[in-house]
Amino acid sequence: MRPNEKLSDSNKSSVGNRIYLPPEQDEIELSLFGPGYGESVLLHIGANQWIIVDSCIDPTSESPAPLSYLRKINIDPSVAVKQIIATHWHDDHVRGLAVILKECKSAEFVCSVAQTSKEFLTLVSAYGTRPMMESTGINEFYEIIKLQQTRNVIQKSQFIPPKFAIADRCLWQYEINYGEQNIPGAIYALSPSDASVLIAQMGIAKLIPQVGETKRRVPSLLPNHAAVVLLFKIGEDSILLGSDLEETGQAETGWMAIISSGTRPEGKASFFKIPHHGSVTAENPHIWSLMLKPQPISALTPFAAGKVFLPTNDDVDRICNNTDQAFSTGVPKHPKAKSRPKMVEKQIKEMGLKLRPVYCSPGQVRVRGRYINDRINWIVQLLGDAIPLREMYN
Amino acid sequence: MLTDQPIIQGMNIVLLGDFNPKIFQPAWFAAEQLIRVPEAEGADIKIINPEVVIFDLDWLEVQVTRDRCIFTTSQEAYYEVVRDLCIGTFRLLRHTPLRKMGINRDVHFRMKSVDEWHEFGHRLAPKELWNSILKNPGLKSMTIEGVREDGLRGYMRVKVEPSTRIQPGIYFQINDHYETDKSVIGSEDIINILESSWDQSMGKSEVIINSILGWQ
Amino acid sequence: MLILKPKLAQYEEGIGQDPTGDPIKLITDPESLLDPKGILSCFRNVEEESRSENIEENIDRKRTINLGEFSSPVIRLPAISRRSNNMASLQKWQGYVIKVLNEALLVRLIDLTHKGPDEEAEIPIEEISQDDRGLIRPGAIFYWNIGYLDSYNGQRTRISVIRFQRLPAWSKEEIDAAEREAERLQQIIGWK
Repeated sequence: MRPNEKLSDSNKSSVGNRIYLPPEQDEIELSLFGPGYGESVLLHIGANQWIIVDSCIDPTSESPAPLSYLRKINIDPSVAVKQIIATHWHDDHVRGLAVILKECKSAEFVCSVAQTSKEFLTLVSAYGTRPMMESTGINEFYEIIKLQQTRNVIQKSQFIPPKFAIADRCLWQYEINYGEQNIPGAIYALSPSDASVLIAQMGIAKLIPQVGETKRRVPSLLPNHAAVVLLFKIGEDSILLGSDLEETGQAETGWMAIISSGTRPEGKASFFKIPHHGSVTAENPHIWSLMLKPQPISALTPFAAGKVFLPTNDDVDRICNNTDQAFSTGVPKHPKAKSRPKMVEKQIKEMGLKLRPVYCSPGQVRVRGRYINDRINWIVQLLGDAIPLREMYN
Repeated sequence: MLTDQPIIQGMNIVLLGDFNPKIFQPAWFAAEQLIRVPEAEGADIKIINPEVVIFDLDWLEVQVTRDRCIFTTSQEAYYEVVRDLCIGTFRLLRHTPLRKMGINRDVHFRMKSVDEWHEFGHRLAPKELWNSILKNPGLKSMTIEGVREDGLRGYMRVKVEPSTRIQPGIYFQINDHYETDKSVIGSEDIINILESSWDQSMGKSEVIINSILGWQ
Repeated sequence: MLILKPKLAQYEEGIGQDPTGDPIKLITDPESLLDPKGILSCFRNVEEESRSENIEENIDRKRTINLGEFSSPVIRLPAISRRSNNMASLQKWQGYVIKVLNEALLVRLIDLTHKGPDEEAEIPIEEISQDDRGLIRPGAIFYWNIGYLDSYNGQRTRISVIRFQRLPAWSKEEIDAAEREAERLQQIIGWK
């Protein structure tokens, strides 16, 4: 990856200038990977303890982006990664997750409680054994379940019972030594809400094939009611990862359920992973006013399918009105069309078709900082195709 | 994709088991929506009989006897279609005992010259040993068998010969052979192997052929 | 072919004796053989091989054979010329339908010929064979090949073949099996 550093105004010290050196023991680091299809977050909470949230494939190494990065900075994922969290089961968030789980032998696996239902496991059982169905999300979960099964039955010493995320559940509590202070930390799931779990399970049940139905690829469930929003509390500061959760307009589901929850952990975040590629469907103004500090560092991964590209110009304006420090892991460009034998190109042209390579703009937004005076002093680095969001359509 | 363009190629799936040939009629395949209705109506039926069924479509040859079932195509566009047809057939006929399966490739390549053809044969089978006992020894056919690398029962056999359809040419036959436990009842095991091993099988065939061609 | 049918009619229509217990005699010129693949291979019941052509050398073409002792009676038919078309793909994709538009399909294509990113395209519905259109729906899988077709009479044609995947519909047994497996997994991995 080509380094393209941009230092934030908050701290221009030399702390954040090292590209492929690991963070210090008392440094917090978060990376948002967006290779063009999918996204993944890698978080260092301190003392060489790492957490992986979702997975996507690095197009250069063709391996899961978080693992590829950890190897680059000489971190052994088999001991350093403590938790792997799958926020939902869509293809673009789980590619390579089974490989990560296999390699990160010390990690606890966490997923939405909606994925523990018999309906979801039936879906996985029905489709997971059919390699021709080409449904990555389901196939990944099938591989994860097989691995868990092997570890629980045969390699019992390697089995770490999974944990399930539901609104306001604490997934992990810890204390980290940051310099001269021991700071308490915790990871909370803020969703899915109880109502969202029920709706998600009903939606999953509808995907279970019916007798007589043609076999095909499993479609994605929209809107995504089961997505897990995560809050990482570090002392008095926080990191908010919005996953793909959308706003439903109903009090019991989506972002409103989180915002109005009476049991939600308190505190506002200085870093925000913007949900659902910055789409207006995931927007709720109360997120910015009630859950985030002023001018939070915010990052998103773009998305493109067909003629749809997210974030749109309006989305960019809306987000940049809320914070000056917004970044994207990629730029809105379609890769060059593949070159093929002349006869093939001629045939495609005569059919009146245009083949567009799927959007691929690999980039990484990395923030590092130390916890000083009750807040994390982030330094932003933009690697690969990552850019400030404001520059996206300029 | 094979690196040198083959002149003639085909793929077939051979299944060994216990069959009732009379089931395997074009009309049955169409009724189960495994092929198109017009294809079934236009099928070139050679014979339909309780002991043997043979029919052709534009892209498919089906031959079934009591103990053998063969699906063949010589059109690469239909390799996956033939695979699906085989899977679909024996998912429906899941009680049909299947014991062995071959996923096979047949390929003929044209050599640039007779000299190159001779040189290739000599490289595969050096003649020094044979020159002392035979006059003008030439390679007629060579078959090499290897063990499976995937832990499944069976073997991988490669046959290389001068081509009888192209002169000067070489013919390759790859027989990717799988077996199940003799006690198995039904078709599930073999069909599961077909589904899960297809990609590796096709890939392995191409690696084998490309490697051998690279020995020129 | 025409010679055979009247002779075999009794078997095809189930008239007469049980054909499986009765030896069938060769009835035509022994030199006239159908394609030796397949039928003739049934002689080789001692060592079962999964190749398609194997044992021509086992056939005695000079005499009529009583084949009652073999597992599959052999019927020799008049020679049928093997006319087949040959097609090599220069480009192969597997794809699936993302969305059905007004007159086109928005599809995702996975390149099976060369590694690389997936592609998307809008394929006009008129490019899809009439008999495949009933299979069109989001998630439907298809194959697309572009190459040259060399017909048996030597004519080369450039072709593009789009064909939708055909597999049996979901059966009750398959769905029940998935449910049983789901229950078993819940027990084993503690996902309850």
